[in-house]
Amino acid sequence: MNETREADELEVEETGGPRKHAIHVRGLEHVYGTGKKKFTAVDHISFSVEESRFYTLLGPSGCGKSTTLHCIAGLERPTSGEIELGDTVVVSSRRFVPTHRRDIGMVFQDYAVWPHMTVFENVAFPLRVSRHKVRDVKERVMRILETVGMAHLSQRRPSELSGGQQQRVSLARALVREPSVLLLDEPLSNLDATLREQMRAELRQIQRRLKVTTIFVTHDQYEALAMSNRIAVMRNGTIVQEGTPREIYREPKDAFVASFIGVSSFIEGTLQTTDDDGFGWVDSNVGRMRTRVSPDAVAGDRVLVVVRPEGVVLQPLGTESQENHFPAVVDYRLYLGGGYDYRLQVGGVPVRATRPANEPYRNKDKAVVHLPAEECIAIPAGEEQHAPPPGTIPEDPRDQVPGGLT
Amino acid sequence: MTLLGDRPAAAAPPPPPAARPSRRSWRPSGRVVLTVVVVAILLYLVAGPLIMLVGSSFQDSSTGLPLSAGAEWTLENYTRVFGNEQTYTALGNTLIFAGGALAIAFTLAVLFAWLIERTDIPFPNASFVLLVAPSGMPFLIVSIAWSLLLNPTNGLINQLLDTWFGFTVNIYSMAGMIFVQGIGMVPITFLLVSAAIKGMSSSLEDAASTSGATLPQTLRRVTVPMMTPALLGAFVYLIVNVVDTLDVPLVLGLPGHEIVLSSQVYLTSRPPAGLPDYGAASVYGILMIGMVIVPLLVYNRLIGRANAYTTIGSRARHPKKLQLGIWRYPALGLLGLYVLIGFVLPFLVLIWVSIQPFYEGISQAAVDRITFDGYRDIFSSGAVGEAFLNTLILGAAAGITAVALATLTSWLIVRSRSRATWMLDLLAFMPHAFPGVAIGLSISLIYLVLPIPIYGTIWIVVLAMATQYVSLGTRLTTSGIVQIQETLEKAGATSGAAMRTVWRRILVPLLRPAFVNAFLLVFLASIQNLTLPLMLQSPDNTVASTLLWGHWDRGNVTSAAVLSVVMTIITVLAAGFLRNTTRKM
Repeated sequence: MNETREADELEVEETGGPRKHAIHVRGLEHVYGTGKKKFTAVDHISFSVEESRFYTLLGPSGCGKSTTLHCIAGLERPTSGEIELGDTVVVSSRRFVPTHRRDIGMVFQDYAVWPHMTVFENVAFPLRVSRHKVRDVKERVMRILETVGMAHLSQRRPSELSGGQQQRVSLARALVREPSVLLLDEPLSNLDATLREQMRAELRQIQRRLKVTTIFVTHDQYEALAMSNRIAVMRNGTIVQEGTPREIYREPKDAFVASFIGVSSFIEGTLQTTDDDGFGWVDSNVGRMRTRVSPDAVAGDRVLVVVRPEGVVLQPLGTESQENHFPAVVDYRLYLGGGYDYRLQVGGVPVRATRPANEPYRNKDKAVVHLPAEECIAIPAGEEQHAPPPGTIPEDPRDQVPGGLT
Repeated sequence: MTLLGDRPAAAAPPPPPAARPSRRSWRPSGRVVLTVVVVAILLYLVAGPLIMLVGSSFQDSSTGLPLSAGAEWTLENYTRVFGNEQTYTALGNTLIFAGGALAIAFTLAVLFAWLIERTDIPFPNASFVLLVAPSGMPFLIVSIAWSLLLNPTNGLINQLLDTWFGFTVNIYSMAGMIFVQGIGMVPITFLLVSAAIKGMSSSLEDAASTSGATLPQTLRRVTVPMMTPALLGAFVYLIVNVVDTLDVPLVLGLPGHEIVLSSQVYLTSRPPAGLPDYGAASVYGILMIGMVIVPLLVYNRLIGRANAYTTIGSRARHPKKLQLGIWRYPALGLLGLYVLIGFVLPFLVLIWVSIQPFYEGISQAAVDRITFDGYRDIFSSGAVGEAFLNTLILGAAAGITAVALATLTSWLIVRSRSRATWMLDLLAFMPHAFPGVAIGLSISLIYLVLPIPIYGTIWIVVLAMATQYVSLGTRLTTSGIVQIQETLEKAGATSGAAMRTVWRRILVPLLRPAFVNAFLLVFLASIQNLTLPLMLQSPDNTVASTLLWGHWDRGNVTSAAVLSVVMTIITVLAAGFLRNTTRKM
């Protein structure tokens, strides 16, 4: 996963220079209902997507990500705000371009492949209903079917296709008229795990090659991290944090982002001093420790030190005196195949660590945990309680860490 | 990735995105316009007659038409109706008639459905077909046939009974009415019940037995509760049908002076002699609505709850069939006996009478008198041709109107998030609680008063029929639209298709099975319906059912029998066609 991200960042540098923005969303608001039943699904959000980039709206269900996408598609009419696609304003206070006049392609979670048409007819539909006469329909349809690997099944009916194949048809149909914007509404979440991983890679490759600006909606953090150029993490109708996958993962802005994306352990404390190099000292529940410091935190703040399980190191007893080394007890560990998921108690604080299988620590062993300063980040403590209560098992870690540890 | 060929550089750039701004959005405004239009049409069709009915019930119409100049507001109709002992007799008769007929229909239908779906009775498929075949025979014809078989003067069976046992049975009685109505409702009841049994996933019962429940426990705690909504739904649906029916009360009730509410409305508004009493008829109509509205409201709640426990989706998991052992053939015999009584016997007597110059018992002399003159006379008569043409127009026009209106209504109800939905729901549901005699009465009053020249034409019947069956149509088209995921429409829009293109290329093709099914059902119901054409009858809008009733009423028994045979053949074939398309869906 790390390598993919590095590659993405390299690509940014290669192409270099500022890109044009293909999508602008400004002050978008969408309110359902009126009076007491009023519900603000999207609360004045703004973002822009550069041309040819893969932009992800990530958040738990009900955060407003799908509503935002539907507003961009014109399937919902926002209460207020502006949307610009390419050089065209499609939504403003005075203007609302209907869906079929927008230069978009969209893939739906349930595929929405028309059952009464063959694969070919499904994909040809956008060209045939186009107000401009398209001459080379057959050629264009076959070319895009080739791209998604479905050319050999062009005469099949959707009922004869698997879920993954239907989703390819859906993708081909969205791409066939070469839209300037591709909208993906949780396209992978109906697929089974293996297929999902394969489609994830393929989808991204196709997008990268066709260079179509893409907005992707998902609740799956791993999809978001693996596929995106940029991610906007949404919650309660607002964007909590926006950045590259690496920024989101390494420098979560608050405890919500830290806990929603990846697995995090939280250690409460008070920020004592900050240094110029982005590091500082925290007087934490487990002891005094050096960590990276979020720009939002200033000395004297209550902070949460966030540490990812991959960054945690286990050491034999006797090393407690070193910087960021603390005595710990192994509560229990779960075998993941590639390694172990350790649940540790560090001075009463639960900390998770993923370690290779060859380390000797067993259930109830005493050890020393090393939380390297560059793997820890201190963020302002919100008002909410984020760390799970000690001793609980949040979820099966096998779901959370695909492929175990590397 | 090998599948990634290069995008050919020569590919012509796509036509420039045509994101021309439109001043208004089609989505909300298109829907709003459609909603307003559909609500307006439904209000006119459904609320109009209701208002007319209530209005005329409060008017003294002895001097003229209700709600017209000169008519006065009064409570006199109500005091007159409720002061009349006849009202309570009719009310009581209606309850006895409906209760008795439903008891017979449900007992037999549940038994047959259970035998066919859950036991190893021989020839289940053929039995199924034979059981539903009588549903093609209109109640008017069934009643006529039973009158020919069991009337006290010269009924065929009565002649035999008299000769052999020295007693006769009088079909012109409450018991006779209940018998004929009950037997006649078995096929439709059977269809509703067996659908409920078949639709139930057997894995639910398997889950009960793997939890340690015995067969009786499973039946009592899982099977019956699971089927309750469907059974009660069928029950209420049929209550409305029985209260509403006019065929049996006319053919068998009038000669025996057994009056129910529906025949009371008919007699009051179209008396054989004297002036119609529209005021009193309206009060009776309102009384009928009152009778069916409570069970219907319960029914609507049940339908809502039934959706909560959807039992459809069992994947051809055939539940264990009970071994009947030596009872297999007796069970089949019982089923055969029903088919004999419910269909074969009535049909045979009609054929027999249709080839006799006058009606008498079976004898050598009668066999010698066999003639096909009846058929020749009927088919050479211009009136018959006109009546059949009118019937065809009626069925087709009512079917198209009801289905078109039902489709738009359903789409708005299912897809719209607007607050007008409850109104559409209510309007589409109301005709269900609106007995045919009351619809017929109020629609005839409307077009007597309004200067729209359709009174006395076939089109007033079409209008009434479309009003009557828009509920039925809406139920079918709603379930059709619910099965179409909304994203299929949205995908059309995001592919660049305008609303009308989405309808033409996506919705209509996908809905075709539902259309065909709903159309055939309304068509069939319309050509069998006697109530509305009779309530709206005039010399120019005779249809097959009113023609038949006219011949029977005037004592042209042979002509009535000939028409019955012809109509039975047509409707049984149409019903068979309908079942066939339904099964293919």
